Amino acid sequence: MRKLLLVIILTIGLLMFAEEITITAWTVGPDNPSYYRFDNLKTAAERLNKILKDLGVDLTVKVDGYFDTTDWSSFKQKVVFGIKSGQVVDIICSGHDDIGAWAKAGYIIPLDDYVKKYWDEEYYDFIPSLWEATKYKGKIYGIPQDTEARPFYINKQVLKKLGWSDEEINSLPDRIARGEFTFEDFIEVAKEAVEKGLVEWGLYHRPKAGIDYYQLMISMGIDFYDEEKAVFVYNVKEMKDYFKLLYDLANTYKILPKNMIGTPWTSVHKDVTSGKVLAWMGGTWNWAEWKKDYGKTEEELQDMFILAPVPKFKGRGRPNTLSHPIVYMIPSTSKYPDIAFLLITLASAPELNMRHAVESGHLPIRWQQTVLPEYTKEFIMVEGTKLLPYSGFIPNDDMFNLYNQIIFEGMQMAESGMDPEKVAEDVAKRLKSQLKDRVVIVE
Amino acid sequence: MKRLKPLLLLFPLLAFVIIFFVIPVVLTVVIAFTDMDYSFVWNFVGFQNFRDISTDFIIPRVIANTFIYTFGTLGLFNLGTALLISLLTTSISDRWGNFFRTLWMLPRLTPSVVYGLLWLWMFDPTEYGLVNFIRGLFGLPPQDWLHSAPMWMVIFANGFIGASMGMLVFTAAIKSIPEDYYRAARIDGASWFMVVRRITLPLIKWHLLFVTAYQTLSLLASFEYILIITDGGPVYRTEVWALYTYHNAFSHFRFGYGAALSIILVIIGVVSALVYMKFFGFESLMEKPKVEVE
Repeated sequence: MRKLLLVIILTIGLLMFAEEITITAWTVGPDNPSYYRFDNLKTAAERLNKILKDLGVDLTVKVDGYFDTTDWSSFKQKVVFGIKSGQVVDIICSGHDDIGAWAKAGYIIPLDDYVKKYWDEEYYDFIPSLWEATKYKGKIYGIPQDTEARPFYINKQVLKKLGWSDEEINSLPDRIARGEFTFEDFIEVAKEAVEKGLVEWGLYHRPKAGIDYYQLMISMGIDFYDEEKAVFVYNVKEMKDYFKLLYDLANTYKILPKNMIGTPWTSVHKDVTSGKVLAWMGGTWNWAEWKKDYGKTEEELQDMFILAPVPKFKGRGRPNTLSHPIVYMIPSTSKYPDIAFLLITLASAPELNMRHAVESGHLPIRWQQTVLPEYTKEFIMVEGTKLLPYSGFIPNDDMFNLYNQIIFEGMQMAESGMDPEKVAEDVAKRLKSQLKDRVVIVE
Repeated sequence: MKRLKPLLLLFPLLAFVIIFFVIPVVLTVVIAFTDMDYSFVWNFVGFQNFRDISTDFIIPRVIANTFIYTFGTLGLFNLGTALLISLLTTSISDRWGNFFRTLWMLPRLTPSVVYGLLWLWMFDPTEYGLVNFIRGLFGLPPQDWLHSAPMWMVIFANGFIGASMGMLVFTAAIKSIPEDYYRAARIDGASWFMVVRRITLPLIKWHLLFVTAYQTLSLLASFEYILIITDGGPVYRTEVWALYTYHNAFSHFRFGYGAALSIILVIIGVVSALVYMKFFGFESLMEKPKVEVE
């Protein structure tokens, strides 16, 4: 802490001729409850200003910018065009998956030296696996802001109505985690629940492009990225199985709506929280959304759901969840990268990050947070943390967004009823045409 | 100085056209021959983007959608409904005519994002959408038109706005037809339909040409309501060429590919305009009159 203070004074000392420095931060939600991504930076500035005032330094640091709640695509557009057009921005808070493209294009700066400088005081207790999500070609480009897990939310009231005992229900997450209850088993339960009229649908997944559906690929044992060669791998035979699964869920078993993709988010959350769906492939942040935006209480949600990893398939794959850490990055256009990093460091204080995690349904990024009283009080935090051992990350590759879009297009086609084999072949052609030598097609 | 004066007076407009039209068009043409992406690097790749367009399996669907959307909206609303409204509202009293024409102008006066969101809320597939709520009052189940009939939804959404422009042009044209023609026709016992067919329509031929050509180009280039209401979905069922260009350029950051797509759209637009002018006999409109009037 003393070293941090000294560095603060020395850094600020160099800028003593300035009376006020504005640090501009662009932060993304897009979910409403994640507003602390921006507000914690403002609190960090307040704390920094108090230190400066106490030390008699005539300088004020002000945080400007915004918290974006539109959608990922719009936010990323704003960032890319903003940086390229020379807009002054000092901190960007976005998904770790943007690191690949933005680092390659030179939009963000490596932070290894900064992290090393404050390691002993601050960064030593960040959860180690999170650093993997912040790297591009071995260098750190982001500071973890939060992480989450993507649980398989199962409506236990529906299981009760199907005749499951409390013991069977409570042991289900563990049985899924051990691979004893597979996705095929889930499909049978979902079909039964729909046929008996207990639910309208057996499964919902996200209706817009994202990363959640890679969990099904991992459950099927499909490997889609070669880390060593930094290329995407598209195995046509395996992907025919994947698209056939989606086709069957919507068209054969009819447990997934054919129009799942494109359904408004509000309709999805209303249906899930009103018991119309047996299982929801969502995120831990949904818990906070359901309480804040959909009027659900903690008791109602705990009565309704059990949380588990996404089940594996018989004889292949593994039960899994995906984490998508959000990170703070410093653009290459920043005029005050040292101060920006100081603010990020101060904003990452355990109690500040904890208030964000509690408010928005995310998980701790530091071990110190797990001993705070709020941690054990929050059901979603404890249950979500249990899923982290099954977690993986999507690759920090600059072509990931394009690859992801093409896979998502294939999903839409399969679920709408197009021949899954043709979909798999068309997706292969499209990937080869657009990603060129960054994808390996395996027939 | 005398020679320079016209140029000086035209300069502000010329500068505006050059900066906001000519330069972007030139840049777009140049970018179409690069593989420019999020890194904004000018890497020239020749005709690769156009080759990629020819092998893009989404393109046939996009072409079909563009054709259906453009000519569906044009025929049903921008031309058809516009003409019908102008004919009907000029056949009744001015007071009521103005009233109905003003009603039809309201969608055009609404900001496009607000208008698009209103359509989404009205046609929300759950019982919470306005239309489904009303259906619920009659015991009918909710319908998901945004998924079951997305092309109709975007045609209607665009059409309610598009009809108003044609309505204004045709109304002005109809009102400028000398009243004597109508009096003579009524004296001869012509019905309303005969009057429209034999007098009104032939005399507003050039206005029909203008609205048809202008609205075709406008519809070819428009996508904002489709973006807001269906975003080209579900599964590309409403992805028109202009929106596909936008998605490639600004969602996928494939600026080179997007620029190539937009050049093809420009070519299609120019060809369409030339075809219309031939069909409507534009040359005869621009001919010098054979009768000299002193």
